[in-house]
Amino acid sequence: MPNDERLREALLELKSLRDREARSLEETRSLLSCVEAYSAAPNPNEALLSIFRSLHGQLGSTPTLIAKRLEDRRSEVLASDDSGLIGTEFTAPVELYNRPRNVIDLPLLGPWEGALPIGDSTGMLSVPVQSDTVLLSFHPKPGGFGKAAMTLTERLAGLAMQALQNSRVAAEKDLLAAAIAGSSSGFSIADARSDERPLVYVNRAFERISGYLAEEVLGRNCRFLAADPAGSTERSRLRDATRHRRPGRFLLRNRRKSGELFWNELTLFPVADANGQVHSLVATQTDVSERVEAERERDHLRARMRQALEATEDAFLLLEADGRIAFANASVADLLPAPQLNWHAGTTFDDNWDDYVAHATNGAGQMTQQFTRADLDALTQVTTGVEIDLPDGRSALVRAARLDDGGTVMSATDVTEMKSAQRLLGQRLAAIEAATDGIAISDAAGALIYMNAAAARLMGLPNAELGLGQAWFAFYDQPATMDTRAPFEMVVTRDTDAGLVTHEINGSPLDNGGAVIIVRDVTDRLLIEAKAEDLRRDLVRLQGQDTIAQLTAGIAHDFNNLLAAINGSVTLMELEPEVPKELHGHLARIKAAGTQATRLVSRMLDIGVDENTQGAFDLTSALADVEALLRPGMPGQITLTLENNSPATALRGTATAFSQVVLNLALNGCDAIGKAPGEVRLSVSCGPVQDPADVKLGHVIPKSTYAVVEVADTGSGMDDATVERVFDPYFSTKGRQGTGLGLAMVARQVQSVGGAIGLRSKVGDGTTFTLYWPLARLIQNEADRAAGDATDLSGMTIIVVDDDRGVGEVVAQYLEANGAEVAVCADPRDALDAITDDPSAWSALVTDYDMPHMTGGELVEAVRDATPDLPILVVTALAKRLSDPRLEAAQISGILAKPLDLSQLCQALASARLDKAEGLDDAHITG
Amino acid sequence: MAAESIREVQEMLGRSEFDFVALHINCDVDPSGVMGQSEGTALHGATSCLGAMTETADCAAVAAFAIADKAGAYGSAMVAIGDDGAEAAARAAAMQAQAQADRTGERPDLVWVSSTPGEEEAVLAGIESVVGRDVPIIGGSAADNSVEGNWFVFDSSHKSANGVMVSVLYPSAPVSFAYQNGYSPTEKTGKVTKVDGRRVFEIDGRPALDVYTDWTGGAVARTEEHADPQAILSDSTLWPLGRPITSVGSVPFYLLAHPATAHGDGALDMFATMEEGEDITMMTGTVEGLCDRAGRVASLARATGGRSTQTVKGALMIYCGGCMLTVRHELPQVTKGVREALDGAPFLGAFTFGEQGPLIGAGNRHGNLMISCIVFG
Repeated sequence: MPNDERLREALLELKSLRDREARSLEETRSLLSCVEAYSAAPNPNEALLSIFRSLHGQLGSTPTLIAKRLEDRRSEVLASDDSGLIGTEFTAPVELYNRPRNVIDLPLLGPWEGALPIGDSTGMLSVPVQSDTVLLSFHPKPGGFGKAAMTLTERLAGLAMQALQNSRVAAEKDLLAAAIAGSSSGFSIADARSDERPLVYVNRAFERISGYLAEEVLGRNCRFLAADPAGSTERSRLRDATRHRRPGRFLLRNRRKSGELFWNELTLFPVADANGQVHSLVATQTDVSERVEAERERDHLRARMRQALEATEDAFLLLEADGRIAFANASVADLLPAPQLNWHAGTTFDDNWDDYVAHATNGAGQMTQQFTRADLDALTQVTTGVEIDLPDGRSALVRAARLDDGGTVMSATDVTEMKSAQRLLGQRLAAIEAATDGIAISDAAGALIYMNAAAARLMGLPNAELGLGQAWFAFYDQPATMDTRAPFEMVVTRDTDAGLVTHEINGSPLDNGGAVIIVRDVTDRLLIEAKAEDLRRDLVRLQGQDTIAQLTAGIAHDFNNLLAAINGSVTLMELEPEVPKELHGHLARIKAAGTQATRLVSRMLDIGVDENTQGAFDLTSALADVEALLRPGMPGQITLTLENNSPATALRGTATAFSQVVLNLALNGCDAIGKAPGEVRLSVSCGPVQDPADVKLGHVIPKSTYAVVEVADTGSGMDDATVERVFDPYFSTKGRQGTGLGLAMVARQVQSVGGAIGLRSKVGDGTTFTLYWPLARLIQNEADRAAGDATDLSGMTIIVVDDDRGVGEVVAQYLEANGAEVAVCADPRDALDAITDDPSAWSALVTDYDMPHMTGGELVEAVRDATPDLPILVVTALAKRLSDPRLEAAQISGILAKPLDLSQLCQALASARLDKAEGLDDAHITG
Repeated sequence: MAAESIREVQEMLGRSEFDFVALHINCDVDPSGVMGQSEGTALHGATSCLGAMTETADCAAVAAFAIADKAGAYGSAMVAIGDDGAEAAARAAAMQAQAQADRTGERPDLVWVSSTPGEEEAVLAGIESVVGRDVPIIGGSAADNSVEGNWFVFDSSHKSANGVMVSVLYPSAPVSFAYQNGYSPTEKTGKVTKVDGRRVFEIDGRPALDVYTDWTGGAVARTEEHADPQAILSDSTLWPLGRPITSVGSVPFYLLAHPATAHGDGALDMFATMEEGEDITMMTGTVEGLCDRAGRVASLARATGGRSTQTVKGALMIYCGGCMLTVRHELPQVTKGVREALDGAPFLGAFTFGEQGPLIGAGNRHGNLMISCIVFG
């Protein structure tokens, strides 16, 4: 190789190497220049700007910026040499964050979105620093950046990012420092490495709160502020925290430089170095005196509120926004028992409600769908509250409202009693409206302000509204002059289309001067009362007659016995043949006087005797009369049924009395049925009665024959207490509509004929009255006793029973004088024994009626069991009043009255013997 | 043999293992087998005089240099020169190459260019309008085997006998390069006084051929037995004309122009465009110099990149086709020198009819009889 060529080659190589070194040197210089500027910057922000300025100066780039990746390919300028670009958002036409780019024909990339001022730029360097930041430099001239520019930019990008981060940190530090210095809270730093922990920094707020200047406190421990006792809990906690370098919050009682006390809320936190060594204790102080006082006041008010709410009977529930219970008084658990959670604070409403529902479901009450889910939102919409019926039978008015903080306040009032009261008031009002009495309320002037339907009807108004405002007394014929300040009562009348009606007015004054007025139509009642008065007078009269009768009967009885002895003895003396004739006149006068006395006694017995009890009447005819009287007056809905199963029978007494009795019972039955459909049934039979259990009045002689008249109704029936009193005078179940005398009269009349009354009744099952009416009996009248000739009683063995042994002896002597053999018994039981022992030994029985141990009726009944055909004659001083059904004609041969006509006795005995003999013959004939 | 090589390249492209493939072939080889097979790979194709040298072959009809660099970016595009001219075609090719590399608008580290001979200066201008003037544009003009115009360039989809093939390289590893010639100036100098493009009519007022013949002492002259015009490419290889383009210190450095054709009217056709008034100096070289120069340029490329002592991954070279024809029989020595300079790293050296590269202080230039080398670190 020629030397020239070698030389030229060496030169060229040298030139190449020199150029390379020159480029490298230039790059190094550029980089050094940039680094020097960066290092010389007084703060991180200036350091960052120095890099931008270096790039501008070295490369001509403008602008230069650091951008951060956002979403949707957008980017945001974090820093730039053009401060106006910071915060600008833009979207590049290419991905900027995946690799460096040296773009020399920027328009080729497409349009940029956003406000970057790069419209004239032709070149761009983009150097991603981290995954989401990029350094961008733009070049305004054609050709853009060279390779060296890219190299320099890549080297500076890291520094720029570091500068940016440092700048941010510095900014944050500056911000923090400014915030601390300007904070309204006190801020202090103590040196934790010193045991004394002196203050090394306090801000202005600390000075303001404590009253001390910084120079007064720096270097001192901050305990000079303490006003709490050294051993107080908070100071002990604070000492412990500073000793162990632990964070904490404390509420301290502090004292300002001025001596004024204040509450200091101190927050303490330690600051450690990289090795974890705590070098500072930072504290913030806040004057919370107002807050503490407010909290105390709030706590006081809250405590009072809790006490008040605990004391109230209303349930009160306060819920947090998240549904947890902040407060529930005792009434909540009482009204809505939740045995598991018991509405404790901190538990949730939903859990407690589930607990309550489970408890209520397991209980005896009724659980409805309403309770399975508590819809508080819906409840808060109803401002008037919701009334719910609880499963345990109680009712509650529940209200709920939303609070501003999202919480809910609920209250529930037990309205069970109120509802009951409302229900009762409603019932009372309905009762008032339904009352048959007119009820009205008037004002002080008598003007009506309320009247029920009955009052309107009574006052002749079609409805109550028409009467309001009118004076109540204007509806009556009589002017009202009452004093409404005191209770008043009056009877007034008014003319109506139906005639004159009488109203009874009762007024009760009200506090407002008005009055409550009760109006009753007493027209019917007055009529009933008049009728009752008549009945009462009849009863009194009857009772008087009864008394007189009983009195005269006693006297007559005794007189008759005396007269029997006298007259008997005279009769016996007349039979004596040896009686001097001069005595005959005396005997005749004695006899005449005795006879006269007997008639007097007989008339005495008529005193007080109801003539209705005498005589006989035909049952069938009487029943026909009853039906004729009863059927036309029967209400349409009541059926009258008459069943007569009795043969033609004569009953004791009068048809009038019988009709009154049956009519009375039948009409009572109609009243008991009332307005409902029903039936009154009359059934009549006749025959022996054994021993009816339903007899309430009178006496039924077993096996005796009665006309049994049943009067049955399908009415409301009576309870046992009413049944017991139903025959008492003046007792009535009809109120003012009844006299209380109807059944008393019935009783009197039935008893007067010797009958009895049975009564069966059951509430709701109707009532049946049963009349046991005795049949008519044979009573020999005085005409029958006209023929009084002596009769031969030979062959007869007669037993005479009289508790008055003197009477018995007289009778025995007379009968024996007429040929009979006579045995006298003072005790009827002895006579019964004798007959029972040998019935065939006796031809006849003559017995008194009123005797101790056994009446004549009872003796007759007993003897009939032993000997059905033994002739029996009953002798009694009260013959006209004797109503013993055992002494009917079929059972005895006759009843003879005292004083006894002995000849009549003999004839009756003779007649009886003859009747017995005929009966035997008939028996033989028929037998 | 060449067809088999084409198949190998076809298979290589089919595997999509590489990001960039420079394929330089004898103009007699049909490249259609590899076209359309390079999806994902930037394919840069051009004819090379007789073939190309590699680390294993002095002159292979088919030679490929492939780069696998997923961290880098590569794009290639061929645009036929149309009515808009070579500059527009070069501009379009550069932009398409950038787009293929997904680096539209971005400055590449290097441009590898192959254009058909004739308008290389316009090609350089077109590329520089896209990538800037400070991006090294290195390459060589496509060449046939006998300067008959059978050259062509191609990419993965197009082939043209009048086109520009541009590849933009954004390698992730550093690259360095050298662009040199091995000639020395003589004392014979003149001034171009009449010129039209690449045809120089007069030097110093005299027919250019006459002056050149004088300067070469008759070694290169038109003879009557040769047709007019007469090809003098081979004869003039050791005596090109140089234009001072830069200097190092006081030592001038020249951009060479290779006289290719002598006309009967005394005009000389060059492989480079000349300007009227340009000072020209006749340069002189030696076969030995041409043989050694390739290795020396490779060493210089390593040294320029500071990689003299560091391993290189490979190298792309341009070796003037005229020079190659001159030292054709010495090619083993040429390749040996390169292998030694690159420590056995793979390389491809294309033999071209015009060379482009950056001259120190003069930017990208088209010259003749130049040797260039790009070393990939």
